[in-house]
Amino acid sequence: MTEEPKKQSRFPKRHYVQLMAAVLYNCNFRGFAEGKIYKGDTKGVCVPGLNCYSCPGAVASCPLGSLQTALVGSRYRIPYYILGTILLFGLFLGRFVCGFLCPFGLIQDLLHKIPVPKIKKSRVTRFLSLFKYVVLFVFVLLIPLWKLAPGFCKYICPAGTFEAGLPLVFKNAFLRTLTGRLFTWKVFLLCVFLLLCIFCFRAFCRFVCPLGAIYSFFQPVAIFGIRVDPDRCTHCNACVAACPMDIKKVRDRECIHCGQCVSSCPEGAIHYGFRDSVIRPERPFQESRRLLLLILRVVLLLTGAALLAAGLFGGGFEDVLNKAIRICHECIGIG
Amino acid sequence: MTGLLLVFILCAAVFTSCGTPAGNDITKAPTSEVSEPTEKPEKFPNRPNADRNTGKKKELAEGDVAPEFSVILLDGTTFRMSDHDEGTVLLNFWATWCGPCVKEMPDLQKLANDGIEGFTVCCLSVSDPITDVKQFCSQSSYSESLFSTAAGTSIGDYYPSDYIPYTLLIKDGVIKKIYVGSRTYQDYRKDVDSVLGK
Repeated sequence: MTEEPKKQSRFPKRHYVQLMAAVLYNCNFRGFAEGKIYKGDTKGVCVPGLNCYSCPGAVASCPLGSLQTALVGSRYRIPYYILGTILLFGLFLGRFVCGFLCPFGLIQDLLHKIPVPKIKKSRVTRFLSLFKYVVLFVFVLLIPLWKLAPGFCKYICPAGTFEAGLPLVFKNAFLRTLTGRLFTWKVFLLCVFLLLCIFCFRAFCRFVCPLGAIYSFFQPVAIFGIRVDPDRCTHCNACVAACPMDIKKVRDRECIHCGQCVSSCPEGAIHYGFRDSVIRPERPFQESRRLLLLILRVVLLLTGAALLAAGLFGGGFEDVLNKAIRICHECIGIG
Repeated sequence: MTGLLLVFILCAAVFTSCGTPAGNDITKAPTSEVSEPTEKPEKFPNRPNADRNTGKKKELAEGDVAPEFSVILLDGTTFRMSDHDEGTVLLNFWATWCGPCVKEMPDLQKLANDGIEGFTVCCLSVSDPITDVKQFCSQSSYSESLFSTAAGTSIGDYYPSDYIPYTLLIKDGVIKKIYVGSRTYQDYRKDVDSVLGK
């Protein structure tokens, strides 16, 4: 007879947090009615999740969009401010951002609730999850630096099409005259992603999202998120089986800290918190590992803070603001 | 941990591919100086003036009088809108970080090289400091007489636009055509010829 799972301190109501984040990022409701974007100073701030700054409701900037436009102009100005912001988001939250603070993640979660047969995770989906690193390298780094265009925003980003392209083109007859093959391509891609997400959990996040790819690098050092208590864990792998993402273990590069594993753990060994999970008495050099992790975190924290300070001092905030208060043609697919 | 190393490598790649830190200071970089307009009979007495911050700031439409402003171009000469009240101007708002803007620059340079009588091209960056514009200009071998910046001035308030590239074809001080998004040399040349009655 199996023992009842112990009561967990599960992070409260993930979808409410996601909804609050989405509303907070996009609280310029008048913009949707007028078909105009917000031009206030808060647009100089980057939010942690993927949220197009050309969305009529957006009151802040997308870190990925800002990074790409900054790289386009990087021969004139080093994007310290954005690099520092992303580094600090990664250090403190890792892919917790994907699970809780990304509006496009919420859309994907809701679509997956539609009751149809689902595509299960497998070795194939695990392999496909590497594709997002290709997208990161080619579309976020290579194309902006080489072809001077925000490659991901221009050719792929479904969040941009959904949040900015469709509402702006719908409200502005003038913009409709500028739409062409690129807009058609982006709407087609959006439909593909939305359809795929009904059958496959977070298809966009798992296989394509370069922001998730960036945050995944910080998973080993992320300060907050899912933690496994090594004293309680029996390595039964119930958590991995219950996880809808392509993880090999809890909190690896694919873990979005959604908390599905918390209730599935028969030992109650998984929880949200700040405590490190690398300490396993049965493994050697645990003290050294803990020290290394601490040093890494301190170095990253200081680097992030220094980059952010250099960026703010060098006009990085104004730079992001200047770009975000203008409609990004590429984001909405008319570039 | 391997992933983390990759992040550092990527960051290093970004850093090394980036430009010199000299152009990093947007707040301290000098912007175009605005010189005092000379006294002469005004063709449009109620014309909005970005230099003096007078007149109504509004979204411009075809048929409106082009608001007055003056900037020092990279070659040291002054461009004043009212000096072209008897001519034709293609006024382009752009930025170094805007792909479509940068893409159409060779076409604008070609248009300026055509040497059309009474026709001037003026390209104003909406946000770049003058040092960045200078660097852009010298790297791509564009004429310094075409470029300046509107950063740190009120020009952007009098020529407001949600979009760049934002280009206006102005004849005798009146806006004849407004372009949003990039165009080709042929598009611009056709319209310039049309307003010049060629």
